[in-house]
Amino acid sequence: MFKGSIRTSALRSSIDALLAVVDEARFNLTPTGVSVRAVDAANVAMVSLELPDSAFDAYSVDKEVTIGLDLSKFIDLLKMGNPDSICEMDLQDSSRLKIKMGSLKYSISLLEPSTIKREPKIPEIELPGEVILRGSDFRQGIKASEPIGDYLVVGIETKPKEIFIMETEGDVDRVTLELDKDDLFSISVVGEDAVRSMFSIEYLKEISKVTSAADEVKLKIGKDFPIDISFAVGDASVRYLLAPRIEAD
Amino acid sequence: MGSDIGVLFEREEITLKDLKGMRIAIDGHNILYQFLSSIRQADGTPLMDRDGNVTSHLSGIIYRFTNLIEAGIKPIFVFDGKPPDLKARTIEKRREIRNTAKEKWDDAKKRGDEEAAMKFAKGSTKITDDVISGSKKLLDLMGIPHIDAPSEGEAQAAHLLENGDADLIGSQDFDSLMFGGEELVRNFAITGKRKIPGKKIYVDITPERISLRENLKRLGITQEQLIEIGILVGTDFNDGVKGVGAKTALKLIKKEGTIEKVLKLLNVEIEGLEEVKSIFTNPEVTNEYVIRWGKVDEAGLIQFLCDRHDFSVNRIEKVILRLKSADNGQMRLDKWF
Repeated sequence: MFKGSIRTSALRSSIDALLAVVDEARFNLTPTGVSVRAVDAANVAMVSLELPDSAFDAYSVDKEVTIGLDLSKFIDLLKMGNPDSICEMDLQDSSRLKIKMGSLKYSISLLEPSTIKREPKIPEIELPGEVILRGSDFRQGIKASEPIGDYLVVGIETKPKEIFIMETEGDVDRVTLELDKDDLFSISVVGEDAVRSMFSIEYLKEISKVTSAADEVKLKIGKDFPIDISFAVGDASVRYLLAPRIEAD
Repeated sequence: MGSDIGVLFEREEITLKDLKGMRIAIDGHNILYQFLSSIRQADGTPLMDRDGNVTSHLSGIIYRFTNLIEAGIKPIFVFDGKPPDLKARTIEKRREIRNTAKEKWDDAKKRGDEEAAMKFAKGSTKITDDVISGSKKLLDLMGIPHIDAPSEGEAQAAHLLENGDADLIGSQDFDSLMFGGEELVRNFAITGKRKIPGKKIYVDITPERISLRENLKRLGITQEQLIEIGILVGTDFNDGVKGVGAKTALKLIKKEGTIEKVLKLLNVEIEGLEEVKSIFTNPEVTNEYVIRWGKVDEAGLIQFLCDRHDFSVNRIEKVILRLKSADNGQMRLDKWF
Protein backbone atom coordinates (compact mmCIF):
# COMPACT_ATOMS: atom_id res chain seq x y z
CA MET A 1 0.00 0.00 0.00
CA PHE A 2 2.62 2.50 1.13
CA LYS A 3 6.38 2.51 1.36
CA GLY A 4 8.50 5.49 2.25
CA SER A 5 11.81 6.49 3.74
CA ILE A 6 12.59 9.83 5.27
CA ARG A 7 15.14 11.26 7.66
CA THR A 8 14.03 10.43 11.20
CA SER A 9 14.55 14.04 12.36
CA ALA A 10 12.29 15.36 9.55
CA LEU A 11 9.53 12.95 10.47
CA ARG A 12 9.91 13.85 14.13
CA SER A 13 9.46 17.55 13.51
CA SER A 14 6.35 16.86 11.42
CA ILE A 15 4.82 14.78 14.21
CA ASP A 16 5.79 17.41 16.80
CA ALA A 17 3.95 20.00 14.71
CA LEU A 18 0.75 17.93 14.92
CA LEU A 19 1.22 17.20 18.63
CA ALA A 20 0.98 20.90 19.40
CA VAL A 21 -2.76 20.54 18.73
CA VAL A 22 -3.84 16.86 18.82
CA ASP A 23 -2.79 13.47 20.24
CA GLU A 24 -4.09 11.37 17.38
CA ALA A 25 -4.71 12.09 13.73
CA ARG A 26 -5.73 10.66 10.37
CA PHE A 27 -2.99 10.52 7.76
CA ASN A 28 -4.02 10.56 4.12
CA LEU A 29 -1.44 8.76 2.02
CA THR A 30 -1.78 9.66 -1.66
CA PRO A 31 0.50 9.14 -4.65
CA THR A 32 1.76 12.74 -4.35
CA GLY A 33 2.41 12.80 -0.62
CA VAL A 34 1.05 12.68 2.92
CA SER A 35 -1.47 15.15 4.26
CA VAL A 36 -3.01 15.56 7.70
CA ARG A 37 -5.68 17.94 8.91
CA ALA A 38 -6.90 17.87 12.49
CA VAL A 39 -8.69 20.03 15.02
CA ASP A 40 -8.40 19.83 18.80
CA ALA A 41 -11.23 18.52 20.96
CA ALA A 42 -12.44 22.00 21.87
CA ASN A 43 -12.48 23.15 18.22
CA VAL A 44 -10.15 26.03 19.02
CA ALA A 45 -7.04 25.09 17.05
CA MET A 46 -6.53 23.41 13.72
CA VAL A 47 -3.35 22.04 12.22
CA SER A 48 -2.65 20.94 8.68
CA LEU A 49 0.49 19.26 7.49
CA GLU A 50 1.58 18.68 3.90
CA LEU A 51 4.44 16.29 3.43
CA PRO A 52 4.94 15.99 -0.37
CA ASP A 53 6.67 12.96 -1.85
CA SER A 54 9.73 15.20 -2.43
CA ALA A 55 10.21 15.34 1.37
CA PHE A 56 10.95 11.61 1.28
CA ASP A 57 14.08 9.86 0.04
CA ALA A 58 11.82 7.21 -1.42
CA TYR A 59 8.05 7.25 -1.63
CA SER A 60 5.42 5.04 -3.20
CA VAL A 61 1.68 4.62 -2.72
CA ASP A 62 -0.09 2.22 -5.02
CA LYS A 63 -3.54 2.86 -3.58
CA GLU A 64 -4.72 5.90 -1.62
CA VAL A 65 -5.24 5.03 2.01
CA THR A 66 -6.07 6.73 5.29
CA ILE A 67 -4.45 5.53 8.48
CA GLY A 68 -4.92 6.57 12.12
CA LEU A 69 -1.91 7.26 14.32
CA ASP A 70 -1.51 7.66 18.06
CA LEU A 71 0.94 10.55 17.84
CA SER A 72 2.28 10.40 21.40
CA LYS A 73 3.15 6.75 20.97
CA PHE A 74 4.64 7.38 17.53
CA ILE A 75 6.88 10.24 18.67
CA ASP A 76 8.13 8.17 21.62
CA LEU A 77 9.36 5.46 19.34
CA LEU A 78 10.79 7.90 16.78
CA LYS A 79 12.86 9.34 19.63
CA MET A 80 14.40 5.90 20.07
CA GLY A 81 16.03 6.14 16.65
CA ASN A 82 19.06 8.21 15.74
CA PRO A 83 17.81 11.56 14.39
CA ASP A 84 20.21 11.28 11.45
CA SER A 85 19.06 7.79 10.58
CA ILE A 86 16.69 7.06 7.74
CA CYS A 87 13.26 5.95 8.88
CA GLU A 88 11.86 3.31 6.55
CA MET A 89 8.12 2.74 6.70
CA ASP A 90 6.13 -0.07 5.20
CA LEU A 91 2.35 -0.37 5.30
CA GLN A 92 0.89 -3.68 4.12
CA ASP A 93 -2.61 -3.24 5.48
CA SER A 94 -4.28 -0.27 7.16
CA SER A 95 -4.01 -1.71 10.67
CA ARG A 96 -0.26 -2.19 11.05
CA LEU A 97 2.83 -0.15 10.17
CA LYS A 98 6.37 -1.45 10.03
CA ILE A 99 9.13 1.02 10.85
CA LYS A 100 12.87 0.55 10.59
CA MET A 101 15.43 3.02 11.91
CA GLY A 102 18.98 1.69 11.63
CA SER A 103 18.96 -1.66 13.38
CA LEU A 104 15.74 -0.88 15.24
CA LYS A 105 12.58 -2.44 13.88
CA TYR A 106 9.04 -1.70 15.05
CA SER A 107 5.73 -3.10 14.05
CA ILE A 108 3.01 -0.85 15.45
CA SER A 109 -0.74 -1.21 15.46
CA LEU A 110 -2.67 1.71 13.98
CA LEU A 111 -5.89 3.34 15.11
CA GLU A 112 -9.11 2.79 13.23
CA PRO A 113 -9.46 6.15 11.40
CA SER A 114 -13.21 6.33 12.03
CA THR A 115 -12.58 6.50 15.79
CA ILE A 116 -10.58 9.72 15.39
CA LYS A 117 -12.30 13.09 15.41
CA ARG A 118 -13.47 14.03 11.95
CA GLU A 119 -11.30 16.22 9.73
CA PRO A 120 -12.44 19.83 9.88
CA LYS A 121 -13.34 21.86 6.87
CA ILE A 122 -10.94 24.71 6.17
CA PRO A 123 -12.59 27.97 7.21
CA GLU A 124 -12.94 30.52 4.47
CA ILE A 125 -11.60 33.68 5.94
CA GLU A 126 -9.78 36.68 4.63
CA LEU A 127 -7.22 38.15 6.95
CA PRO A 128 -6.08 41.68 6.04
CA GLY A 129 -2.82 41.75 8.04
CA GLU A 130 0.31 39.79 7.23
CA VAL A 131 3.76 39.61 8.80
CA ILE A 132 6.69 37.34 8.17
CA LEU A 133 9.07 37.09 11.10
CA ARG A 134 11.75 34.85 12.52
CA GLY A 135 10.42 31.78 14.37
CA SER A 136 12.69 32.64 17.29
CA ASP A 137 11.19 36.16 17.60
CA PHE A 138 7.66 34.76 17.66
CA ARG A 139 8.71 32.30 20.33
CA GLN A 140 10.29 35.08 22.39
CA GLY A 141 7.11 37.17 22.35
CA ILE A 142 5.10 34.24 23.66
CA LYS A 143 7.67 33.12 26.20
CA ALA A 144 7.87 36.63 27.63
CA SER A 145 4.07 36.66 28.03
CA GLU A 146 3.71 33.35 29.84
CA PRO A 147 4.53 34.60 33.36
CA ILE A 148 2.44 37.77 32.90
CA GLY A 149 -1.01 36.57 31.89
CA ASP A 150 -3.16 34.01 30.08
CA TYR A 151 -4.00 35.93 26.90
CA LEU A 152 -1.91 37.53 24.25
CA VAL A 153 -2.89 40.22 21.76
CA VAL A 154 -1.28 40.00 18.33
CA GLY A 155 -1.65 43.02 16.08
CA ILE A 156 -0.32 45.29 13.37
CA GLU A 157 -0.46 49.08 13.47
CA THR A 158 0.29 51.27 10.45
CA LYS A 159 0.23 54.73 11.98
CA PRO A 160 2.56 56.52 12.40
CA LYS A 161 4.58 53.59 11.00
CA GLU A 162 4.11 49.92 10.35
CA ILE A 163 4.73 47.93 13.48
CA PHE A 164 4.01 44.39 14.65
CA ILE A 165 2.94 44.01 18.29
CA MET A 166 2.59 41.14 20.73
CA GLU A 167 1.18 42.24 24.06
CA THR A 168 0.00 40.61 27.27
CA GLU A 169 -1.66 42.32 30.17
CA GLY A 170 -1.97 40.50 33.48
CA ASP A 171 -3.77 41.67 36.61
CA VAL A 172 -0.84 43.89 37.53
CA ASP A 173 1.88 43.50 34.91
CA ARG A 174 2.19 44.06 31.23
CA VAL A 175 4.65 43.01 28.53
CA THR A 176 4.99 44.22 24.94
CA LEU A 177 7.14 43.02 22.07
CA GLU A 178 7.33 45.43 19.15
CA LEU A 179 9.03 44.70 15.85
CA ASP A 180 9.23 47.20 13.01
CA LYS A 181 9.99 46.76 9.34
CA ASP A 182 13.72 46.36 9.95
CA ASP A 183 13.19 43.44 12.33
CA LEU A 184 10.75 41.65 10.01
CA PHE A 185 10.91 39.97 6.62
CA SER A 186 7.71 41.75 5.62
CA ILE A 187 4.65 43.52 7.03
CA SER A 188 1.43 44.66 5.38
CA VAL A 189 -2.22 45.43 6.06
CA VAL A 190 -4.81 45.66 3.29
CA GLY A 191 -7.67 48.13 3.65
CA GLU A 192 -7.34 48.73 7.41
CA ASP A 193 -5.25 51.03 9.61
CA ALA A 194 -4.75 48.38 12.25
CA VAL A 195 -5.67 44.79 13.08
CA ARG A 196 -5.59 42.97 16.39
CA SER A 197 -6.92 39.75 17.87
CA MET A 198 -6.44 38.08 21.23
CA PHE A 199 -5.47 34.46 21.79
CA SER A 200 -5.01 31.99 24.60
CA ILE A 201 -1.33 31.63 25.51
CA GLU A 202 -1.96 27.99 26.42
CA TYR A 203 -2.39 27.23 22.72
CA LEU A 204 0.22 29.65 21.36
CA LYS A 205 2.82 28.23 23.71
CA GLU A 206 2.59 24.77 22.14
CA ILE A 207 2.54 26.15 18.62
CA SER A 208 5.50 28.48 19.14
CA LYS A 209 7.67 25.63 20.41
CA VAL A 210 7.29 24.12 16.97
CA THR A 211 7.70 27.32 14.98
CA SER A 212 10.81 28.36 16.92
CA ALA A 213 12.89 26.08 14.68
CA ALA A 214 11.60 27.75 11.50
CA ASP A 215 13.61 30.54 9.85
CA GLU A 216 10.46 32.29 8.66
CA VAL A 217 6.97 32.18 10.12
CA LYS A 218 4.07 33.82 8.33
CA LEU A 219 1.24 35.24 10.45
CA LYS A 220 -2.06 36.42 9.01
CA ILE A 221 -4.13 38.55 11.35
CA GLY A 222 -7.61 40.06 11.35
CA LYS A 223 -9.81 41.96 13.77
CA ASP A 224 -11.10 39.46 16.35
CA PHE A 225 -10.53 36.74 13.79
CA PRO A 226 -8.58 33.48 13.87
CA ILE A 227 -4.84 33.78 13.34
CA ASP A 228 -3.24 31.85 10.50
CA ILE A 229 0.29 30.69 11.33
CA SER A 230 2.28 28.93 8.62
CA PHE A 231 5.85 27.85 8.04
CA ALA A 232 7.93 25.34 6.15
CA VAL A 233 10.50 22.88 7.37
CA GLY A 234 12.43 21.51 4.43
CA ASP A 235 9.82 20.35 1.94
CA ALA A 236 7.11 20.00 4.58
CA SER A 237 4.64 22.79 5.21
CA VAL A 238 2.64 23.31 8.38
CA ARG A 239 -0.28 25.62 8.98
CA TYR A 240 -2.20 26.42 12.15
CA LEU A 241 -5.47 28.24 12.60
CA LEU A 242 -6.28 29.38 16.10
CA ALA A 243 -9.64 30.85 17.13
CA PRO A 244 -9.49 34.15 19.02
CA ARG A 245 -10.76 35.13 22.41
CA ILE A 246 -13.11 38.03 22.45
CA GLU A 247 -11.67 40.85 24.52
CA ALA A 248 -13.75 41.90 27.52
CA ASP A 249 -15.57 45.24 27.19
CA MET B 1 -35.61 4.93 32.87
CA GLY B 2 -34.31 3.79 29.53
CA SER B 3 -32.98 0.49 28.36
CA ASP B 4 -30.80 -1.49 30.77
CA ILE B 5 -27.86 -2.08 28.43
CA GLY B 6 -25.14 -0.17 30.28
CA VAL B 7 -23.18 -3.30 31.17
CA LEU B 8 -22.23 -3.76 27.51
CA PHE B 9 -20.26 -0.55 27.19
CA GLU B 10 -16.63 0.14 27.92
CA ARG B 11 -16.18 3.56 29.50
CA GLU B 12 -13.22 5.87 29.60
CA GLU B 13 -12.74 7.60 32.94
CA ILE B 14 -12.21 11.31 32.42
CA THR B 15 -12.02 14.50 34.45
CA LEU B 16 -13.94 17.74 34.03
CA LYS B 17 -10.74 19.20 32.57
CA ASP B 18 -11.03 16.84 29.60
CA LEU B 19 -14.41 18.42 28.84
CA LYS B 20 -13.07 21.96 28.56
CA GLY B 21 -14.56 23.78 25.59
CA MET B 22 -16.99 20.95 24.86
CA ARG B 23 -20.62 21.60 24.03
CA ILE B 24 -22.68 19.03 25.92
CA ALA B 25 -26.26 18.38 24.80
CA ILE B 26 -27.84 17.57 28.13
CA ASP B 27 -30.83 15.31 28.55
CA GLY B 28 -32.86 17.87 30.53
CA HIS B 29 -35.41 15.55 32.14
CA ASN B 30 -32.70 13.10 33.10
CA ILE B 31 -30.59 15.70 34.90
CA LEU B 32 -33.58 17.30 36.62
CA TYR B 33 -34.62 13.87 37.84
CA GLN B 34 -31.12 13.37 39.27
CA PHE B 35 -31.25 16.69 41.08
CA LEU B 36 -34.79 16.20 42.40
CA SER B 37 -34.10 12.71 43.67
CA SER B 38 -30.68 13.33 45.19
CA ILE B 39 -30.80 16.86 46.59
CA ARG B 40 -32.85 16.12 49.70
CA GLN B 41 -32.62 16.32 53.47
CA ALA B 42 -31.93 13.21 55.55
CA ASP B 43 -35.61 12.23 55.85
CA GLY B 44 -36.14 12.64 52.14
CA THR B 45 -37.75 16.08 52.23
CA PRO B 46 -36.66 18.08 49.17
CA LEU B 47 -35.38 21.63 49.42
CA MET B 48 -38.28 24.08 49.53
CA ASP B 49 -38.88 27.80 49.75
CA ARG B 50 -41.14 29.31 52.40
CA ASP B 51 -44.24 28.77 50.22
CA GLY B 52 -43.51 25.05 49.98
CA ASN B 53 -42.30 25.10 46.35
CA VAL B 54 -39.63 22.46 45.69
CA THR B 55 -36.28 24.06 44.83
CA SER B 56 -33.91 21.05 44.69
CA HIS B 57 -33.65 21.27 40.91
CA LEU B 58 -32.88 25.01 41.02
CA SER B 59 -30.16 24.37 43.56
CA GLY B 60 -28.70 21.66 41.33
CA ILE B 61 -28.70 23.87 38.26
CA ILE B 62 -27.23 26.98 39.85
CA TYR B 63 -24.47 25.33 41.90
CA ARG B 64 -23.49 22.31 39.83
CA PHE B 65 -23.68 24.04 36.49
CA THR B 66 -21.63 26.96 37.75
CA ASN B 67 -18.89 24.39 38.43
CA LEU B 68 -19.23 23.06 34.90
CA ILE B 69 -19.23 26.49 33.28
CA GLU B 70 -16.18 27.42 35.33
CA ALA B 71 -14.48 24.32 33.92
CA GLY B 72 -15.08 25.74 30.43
CA ILE B 73 -17.96 23.39 29.55
CA LYS B 74 -20.74 24.72 27.33
CA PRO B 75 -24.05 23.08 28.29
CA ILE B 76 -27.11 22.95 26.03
CA PHE B 77 -30.29 21.63 27.69
CA VAL B 78 -32.58 19.50 25.56
CA PHE B 79 -36.05 18.91 27.00
CA ASP B 80 -38.45 16.12 26.04
CA GLY B 81 -41.42 17.00 23.90
CA LYS B 82 -44.49 14.85 23.34
CA PRO B 83 -43.69 11.22 24.19
CA PRO B 84 -44.28 8.59 21.50
CA ASP B 85 -47.66 6.83 22.00
CA LEU B 86 -45.87 3.62 22.87
CA LYS B 87 -44.43 5.26 25.98
CA ALA B 88 -47.89 5.54 27.57
CA ARG B 89 -47.54 2.27 29.44
CA THR B 90 -44.14 3.20 30.85
CA ILE B 91 -45.49 6.56 31.94
CA GLU B 92 -48.47 4.91 33.66
CA LYS B 93 -46.17 2.42 35.37
CA ARG B 94 -43.93 5.23 36.62
CA ARG B 95 -46.96 7.04 38.01
CA GLU B 96 -48.00 3.92 39.96
CA ILE B 97 -44.47 3.42 41.31
CA ARG B 98 -44.37 7.07 42.35
CA ASN B 99 -47.70 6.92 44.14
CA THR B 100 -46.78 3.78 46.05
CA ALA B 101 -43.42 5.30 46.96
CA LYS B 102 -45.13 8.46 48.22
CA GLU B 103 -47.34 6.43 50.59
CA LYS B 104 -44.39 4.40 51.85
CA TRP B 105 -42.34 7.57 52.33
CA ASP B 106 -45.04 9.15 54.52
CA ASP B 107 -45.26 5.92 56.47
CA ALA B 108 -41.48 5.69 56.97
CA LYS B 109 -41.34 9.31 58.11
CA LYS B 110 -44.01 8.59 60.74
CA ARG B 111 -41.99 5.62 61.96
CA GLY B 112 -38.84 7.75 62.03
CA ASP B 113 -36.98 5.37 59.72
CA GLU B 114 -34.78 7.84 57.86
CA GLU B 115 -33.09 5.39 55.56
CA ALA B 116 -36.38 3.99 54.28
CA ALA B 117 -37.81 7.50 54.09
CA MET B 118 -34.92 8.62 51.84
CA LYS B 119 -35.29 5.59 49.63
CA PHE B 120 -39.02 6.06 49.07
CA ALA B 121 -38.70 9.81 48.79
CA LYS B 122 -36.34 9.33 45.86
CA GLY B 123 -38.80 6.93 44.29
CA SER B 124 -41.57 9.50 44.53
CA THR B 125 -39.65 12.08 42.48
CA LYS B 126 -41.84 13.76 39.91
CA ILE B 127 -40.97 16.25 37.20
CA THR B 128 -43.88 18.67 37.10
CA ASP B 129 -44.57 21.47 34.63
CA ASP B 130 -43.50 23.94 37.34
CA VAL B 131 -40.14 22.17 37.63
CA ILE B 132 -39.60 22.48 33.88
CA SER B 133 -40.69 26.10 33.59
CA GLY B 134 -38.66 27.14 36.68
CA SER B 135 -35.60 25.37 35.28
CA LYS B 136 -35.93 27.07 31.89
CA LYS B 137 -36.30 30.46 33.57
CA LEU B 138 -33.13 29.84 35.60
CA LEU B 139 -31.19 28.66 32.52
CA ASP B 140 -32.20 31.86 30.71
CA LEU B 141 -30.92 33.96 33.60
CA MET B 142 -27.62 32.05 33.62
CA GLY B 143 -27.26 32.40 29.84
CA ILE B 144 -27.44 28.65 29.21
CA PRO B 145 -29.27 27.69 25.98
CA HIS B 146 -32.13 25.20 26.02
CA ILE B 147 -34.21 23.68 23.26
CA ASP B 148 -37.42 21.67 23.13
CA ALA B 149 -37.31 18.34 21.34
CA PRO B 150 -40.34 17.46 19.24
CA SER B 151 -40.37 14.08 21.02
CA GLU B 152 -37.60 12.25 22.88
CA GLY B 153 -34.88 14.57 24.23
CA GLU B 154 -32.10 12.02 23.76
CA ALA B 155 -32.99 11.60 20.08
CA GLN B 156 -32.78 15.35 19.58
CA ALA B 157 -29.48 15.46 21.50
CA ALA B 158 -28.06 12.80 19.18
CA HIS B 159 -29.28 14.91 16.26
CA LEU B 160 -27.37 17.96 17.56
CA LEU B 161 -24.18 15.89 17.47
CA GLU B 162 -24.95 14.75 13.96
CA ASN B 163 -25.43 18.38 12.90
CA GLY B 164 -22.13 19.36 14.51
CA ASP B 165 -23.90 21.63 17.03
CA ALA B 166 -22.77 19.67 20.09
CA ASP B 167 -19.78 17.50 20.93
CA LEU B 168 -21.21 15.13 23.54
CA ILE B 169 -24.50 13.96 24.98
CA GLY B 170 -24.88 14.27 28.74
CA SER B 171 -27.16 11.69 30.32
CA GLN B 172 -27.09 8.85 32.85
CA ASP B 173 -29.17 6.67 30.49
CA PHE B 174 -27.75 4.78 27.55
CA ASP B 175 -30.69 5.33 25.21
CA SER B 176 -28.89 8.11 23.33
CA LEU B 177 -26.50 5.44 22.02
CA MET B 178 -29.50 3.57 20.62
CA PHE B 179 -30.52 6.83 18.95
CA GLY B 180 -27.08 6.90 17.30
CA GLY B 181 -25.47 9.52 19.54
CA GLU B 182 -21.74 9.16 18.93
CA GLU B 183 -20.35 10.28 22.26
CA LEU B 184 -21.99 10.02 25.68
CA VAL B 185 -20.72 11.48 28.95
CA ARG B 186 -22.10 10.34 32.31
CA ASN B 187 -21.59 11.47 35.92
CA PHE B 188 -20.51 14.96 34.90
CA ALA B 189 -22.94 16.90 37.07
CA ILE B 190 -22.87 14.85 40.24
CA THR B 191 -19.88 15.25 42.47
CA GLY B 192 -17.88 13.08 44.79
CA LYS B 193 -19.57 10.13 46.38
CA ARG B 194 -22.79 8.28 45.80
CA LYS B 195 -24.53 5.94 48.19
CA ILE B 196 -25.21 2.45 46.96
CA PRO B 197 -28.97 1.92 47.27
CA GLY B 198 -29.98 -0.04 50.34
CA LYS B 199 -26.46 -0.18 51.75
CA LYS B 200 -24.36 2.11 53.88
CA ILE B 201 -21.57 2.08 51.30
CA TYR B 202 -20.40 5.08 49.34
CA VAL B 203 -18.56 4.86 46.05
CA ASP B 204 -16.60 7.56 44.25
CA ILE B 205 -18.19 8.60 41.03
CA THR B 206 -16.15 10.16 38.29
CA PRO B 207 -17.16 11.39 34.85
CA GLU B 208 -16.94 8.76 32.15
CA ARG B 209 -17.07 8.96 28.39
CA ILE B 210 -18.52 6.33 26.10
CA SER B 211 -17.84 6.22 22.40
CA LEU B 212 -20.56 4.51 20.36
CA ARG B 213 -18.41 3.62 17.40
CA GLU B 214 -15.58 2.12 19.44
CA ASN B 215 -18.02 0.06 21.46
CA LEU B 216 -19.89 -1.24 18.44
CA LYS B 217 -16.58 -2.22 16.93
CA ARG B 218 -15.44 -3.98 20.10
CA LEU B 219 -18.75 -5.79 20.48
CA GLY B 220 -18.73 -6.70 16.81
CA ILE B 221 -22.29 -5.49 16.18
CA THR B 222 -23.98 -2.88 14.02
CA GLN B 223 -25.98 0.12 15.23
CA GLU B 224 -29.15 -1.71 14.23
CA GLN B 225 -28.17 -4.74 16.25
CA LEU B 226 -27.57 -2.51 19.29
CA ILE B 227 -31.13 -1.25 18.95
CA GLU B 228 -32.37 -4.83 18.71
CA ILE B 229 -30.46 -5.79 21.84
CA GLY B 230 -32.06 -2.85 23.66
CA ILE B 231 -35.49 -3.92 22.50
CA LEU B 232 -34.93 -7.50 23.69
CA VAL B 233 -33.90 -6.19 27.11
CA GLY B 234 -36.79 -3.71 27.16
CA THR B 235 -37.07 0.02 26.44
CA ASP B 236 -39.38 2.84 27.46
CA PHE B 237 -41.52 1.74 24.51
CA ASN B 238 -41.73 -2.02 24.99
CA ASP B 239 -41.42 -4.73 27.63
CA GLY B 240 -38.37 -6.87 27.10
CA VAL B 241 -38.28 -10.61 26.82
CA LYS B 242 -38.51 -12.14 30.29
CA GLY B 243 -35.20 -13.49 31.55
CA VAL B 244 -33.15 -11.83 28.81
CA GLY B 245 -30.57 -9.35 30.09
CA ALA B 246 -28.12 -7.31 28.07
CA LYS B 247 -25.37 -9.93 27.91
CA THR B 248 -27.75 -12.70 26.88
CA ALA B 249 -29.33 -10.43 24.29
CA LEU B 250 -25.89 -9.63 22.86
CA LYS B 251 -25.05 -13.32 22.56
CA LEU B 252 -28.38 -14.12 20.94
CA ILE B 253 -28.22 -11.26 18.44
CA LYS B 254 -24.65 -12.07 17.48
CA LYS B 255 -25.53 -15.71 16.98
CA GLU B 256 -28.82 -15.26 15.17
CA GLY B 257 -28.12 -11.96 13.41
CA THR B 258 -31.52 -10.31 13.78
CA ILE B 259 -34.16 -9.81 16.45
CA GLU B 260 -36.75 -11.58 14.34
CA LYS B 261 -34.69 -14.77 14.35
CA VAL B 262 -34.04 -14.47 18.09
CA LEU B 263 -37.73 -14.07 18.82
CA LYS B 264 -38.51 -17.06 16.65
CA LEU B 265 -35.90 -19.10 18.46
CA LEU B 266 -37.32 -18.14 21.85
CA ASN B 267 -40.85 -18.50 20.53
CA VAL B 268 -41.99 -15.11 21.85
CA GLU B 269 -43.32 -11.92 20.32
CA ILE B 270 -42.74 -8.25 21.00
CA GLU B 271 -45.78 -6.11 20.52
CA GLY B 272 -45.32 -3.33 17.95
CA LEU B 273 -41.74 -4.40 17.16
CA GLU B 274 -41.49 -2.44 13.91
CA GLU B 275 -42.85 0.70 15.52
CA VAL B 276 -40.42 0.46 18.45
CA LYS B 277 -37.53 -0.05 16.03
CA SER B 278 -38.50 2.98 14.02
CA ILE B 279 -38.57 5.18 17.13
CA PHE B 280 -34.82 4.54 17.31
CA THR B 281 -33.89 4.27 13.65
CA ASN B 282 -36.07 7.10 12.45
CA PRO B 283 -36.68 9.32 15.47
CA GLU B 284 -38.72 12.50 15.41
CA VAL B 285 -36.19 15.35 15.51
CA THR B 286 -36.05 18.92 14.31
CA ASN B 287 -33.56 21.31 12.71
CA GLU B 288 -35.59 24.27 13.97
CA TYR B 289 -33.57 25.30 16.97
CA VAL B 290 -31.38 28.16 18.07
CA ILE B 291 -28.38 27.69 20.35
CA ARG B 292 -27.06 30.90 21.84
CA TRP B 293 -25.02 31.32 25.00
CA GLY B 294 -26.19 34.49 26.68
CA LYS B 295 -24.95 36.84 29.38
CA VAL B 296 -25.49 36.30 33.10
CA ASP B 297 -28.48 38.34 34.33
CA GLU B 298 -27.32 39.37 37.81
CA ALA B 299 -30.40 41.23 38.96
CA GLY B 300 -32.67 38.58 37.49
CA LEU B 301 -30.86 35.79 39.33
CA ILE B 302 -31.07 37.57 42.70
CA GLN B 303 -34.75 38.34 42.15
CA PHE B 304 -35.67 34.81 41.04
CA LEU B 305 -33.52 32.73 43.38
CA CYS B 306 -33.29 34.91 46.50
CA ASP B 307 -36.42 37.06 46.55
CA ARG B 308 -38.77 34.46 45.15
CA HIS B 309 -37.25 31.12 46.23
CA ASP B 310 -35.35 32.02 49.43
CA PHE B 311 -31.80 31.19 48.34
CA SER B 312 -29.06 32.91 50.35
CA VAL B 313 -28.14 36.26 48.77
CA ASN B 314 -24.59 35.83 49.98
CA ARG B 315 -24.09 32.49 48.24
CA ILE B 316 -25.80 33.53 45.03
CA GLU B 317 -23.70 36.69 44.79
CA LYS B 318 -20.58 34.52 44.94
CA VAL B 319 -21.98 32.22 42.27
CA ILE B 320 -22.66 35.22 40.01
CA LEU B 321 -19.06 36.37 40.38
CA ARG B 322 -17.82 32.90 39.42
CA LEU B 323 -20.18 32.71 36.44
CA LYS B 324 -19.09 36.11 35.19
CA SER B 325 -15.39 35.39 35.41
CA ALA B 326 -15.78 31.96 33.80
CA ASP B 327 -13.83 31.29 30.68
CA ASN B 328 -16.37 32.23 28.03
CA GLY B 329 -14.39 34.54 25.77
CA GLN B 330 -12.72 31.73 23.83
CA MET B 331 -14.22 31.40 20.35
CA ARG B 332 -14.34 28.16 18.41
CA LEU B 333 -13.17 27.70 14.84
CA ASP B 334 -16.54 26.33 13.71
CA LYS B 335 -17.86 29.86 13.82
CA TRP B 336 -15.86 30.41 10.60
CA PHE B 337 -16.51 27.08 8.87
